[in-house]
Amino acid sequence: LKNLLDIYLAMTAAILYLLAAFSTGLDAILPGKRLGRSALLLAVAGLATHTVGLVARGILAKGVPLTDLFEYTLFLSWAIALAYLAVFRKRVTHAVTIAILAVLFLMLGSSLLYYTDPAGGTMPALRSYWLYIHVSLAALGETFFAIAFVSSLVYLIRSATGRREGLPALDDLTYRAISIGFPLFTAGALVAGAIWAKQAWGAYWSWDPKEVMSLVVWLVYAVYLHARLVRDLRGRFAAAIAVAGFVLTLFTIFSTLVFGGLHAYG
Amino acid sequence: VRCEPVQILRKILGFVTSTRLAVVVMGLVAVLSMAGAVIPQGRGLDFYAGAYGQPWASAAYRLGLTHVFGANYYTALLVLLCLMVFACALKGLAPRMRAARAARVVPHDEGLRAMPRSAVIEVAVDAREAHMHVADILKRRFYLVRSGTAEGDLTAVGSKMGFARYGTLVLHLSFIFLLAGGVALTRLGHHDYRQAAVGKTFALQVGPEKTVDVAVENFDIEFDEGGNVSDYICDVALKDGDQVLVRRTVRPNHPLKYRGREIYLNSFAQDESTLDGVVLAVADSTGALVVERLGLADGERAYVDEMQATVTANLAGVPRVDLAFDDGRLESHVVRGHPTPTSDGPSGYRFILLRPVYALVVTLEVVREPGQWLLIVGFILLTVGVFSALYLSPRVVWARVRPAPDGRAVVLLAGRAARNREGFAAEFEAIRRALEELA
Repeated sequence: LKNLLDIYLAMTAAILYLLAAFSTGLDAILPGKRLGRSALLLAVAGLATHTVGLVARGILAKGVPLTDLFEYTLFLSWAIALAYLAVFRKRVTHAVTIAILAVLFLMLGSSLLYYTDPAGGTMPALRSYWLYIHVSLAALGETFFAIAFVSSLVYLIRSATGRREGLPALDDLTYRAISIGFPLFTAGALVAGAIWAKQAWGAYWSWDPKEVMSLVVWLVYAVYLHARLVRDLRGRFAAAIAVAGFVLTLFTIFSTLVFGGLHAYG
Repeated sequence: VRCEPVQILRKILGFVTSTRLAVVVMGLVAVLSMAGAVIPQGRGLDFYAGAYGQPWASAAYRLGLTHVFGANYYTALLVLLCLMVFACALKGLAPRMRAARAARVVPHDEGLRAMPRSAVIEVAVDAREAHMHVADILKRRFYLVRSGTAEGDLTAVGSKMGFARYGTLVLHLSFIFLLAGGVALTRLGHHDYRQAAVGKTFALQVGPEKTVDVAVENFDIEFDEGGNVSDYICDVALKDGDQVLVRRTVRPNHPLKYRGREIYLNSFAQDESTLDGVVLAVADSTGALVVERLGLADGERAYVDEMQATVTANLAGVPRVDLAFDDGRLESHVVRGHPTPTSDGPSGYRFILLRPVYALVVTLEVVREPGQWLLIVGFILLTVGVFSALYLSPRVVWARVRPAPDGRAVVLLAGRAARNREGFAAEFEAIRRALEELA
């Protein structure tokens, strides 16, 4: 049990997030029944369990849990949950909340598929302080891309179904989330990644699939911000770019499962 | 219609710096990069034919999708992007400088009232004192204040984060540095992989007529409690004849740097042509294991020699191996085929070969990359540019202070911010309230 504590806690958190999503949905259907409060409590309980799970993983792995795909997913989903509850909770609608909680459930649930034994040790190339800078900043950037994805997705669904109320607020939320995530992603994934790559592999850039996909993700969000700041681009096209950006982000994260490369460990 | 060269240049500049073209080029780079990430690069046509079928393989090969990152069209797109960025930086420079100059001049009353934030405040002190208070309030809020006079009024201009006006310019410049650095490293950089066993040396050129010897003095693999490789380290010395120039332990993330060259520990492997030792198990005459594992390196072989042992392989897949020793040197003879019965030595001990240990060779990567500073400058500019373009907002506050008939003073206050206008509105209100307290 002790050796699997991390995955048990992660799955418990996933279930709590799912229950919070259901509770939020019921609150939207049956307002005034104090279900919103239950949903919030469930989400907070989920985050608390998630936090303990992350710490347990760190203790079992004897290091900061950022070294493989399972640990990265655990950290990224934790950061999304934290960003949602700490920063965006009061700004978002029921639909956005449900979507965020569903994303958390799916991320944690899917992490079962690539669970790794924490006793596996950390490979020598990853024993560097750059690991914490590169991976944590990239993950934090992707956290805000996830928030932007959810708000854009809700924007597109509402826009397609003709429900136009709250669209400017969703558009604004997308822009704010991307404008927070983009500098973090730039500094973490690209700049810190290139500097660490030079230190570990002798080259700043190796056209590795994950490197290239990170550049593609950066370009997509750069296009979004360029169009927004220069042309004040809003609406469906902007939302579609934000959705595409996060789909590519997910593809980048999981590309190592398919393409391997220098980032094959995670 | 007669077109002036200046007009033509302006049209070209307008086209090259258009948002639409930027989006198209960035989109194309993104799509091609994705293709390069998804399709394994630089393999032979046979590989692609096997993976995707002949027609798709031929198409991908002809379109250059099998070597995207070295293809001319990809380089051309990057160069075009670089030119566009350069043109955009040039185009944006003059208006930004004009805006910076214009911000230093206090507008007339109408101009002040037309600003996004403006207020007229009567204060209960004379104009000179009111002017001093305005400057003081702005300075306390980290504004850079310029005081002066204009049309008989005392004036003050407070500016904060004026450099953020150049944020996007810095961002554009960063791309130029990064691309230039990338080109420099690609064209002038050199990566060389050298294999060497412990105790061996190889020559490394460190100048036009200067060569040093790189000696691999030691190599060691460290394991954690779980038996996983936790680190591998290699002691490397650079020597000029007998003189040691530098000696350092090279390990992952810790290269050796010497006169523009970097030496990385790339990997290690077993050299199966050189037997370095054996791992044995020792059984007594009854067949019971006395020692489960006995690692024998060079110096310990004499012990085995004394026992006149015959070592028999018992691992699946490893054929019977008879080891004999001659003057302390290990002579190995590998017998392919069925294992023969084990013969006991005179002591009654039997040695069973668990596995042979081969000599390790390390692969050192010798890197020379002139022009790295371009990339470092590019990284700094990129980070600063992104943060300043998105977060820092140049703010300007203008004030005209003029005497009122009753010995009091009137302050015309106005201001604007390029971004975060809500934040600026709150700050402007705070400045206004601070001035009103004088009343």
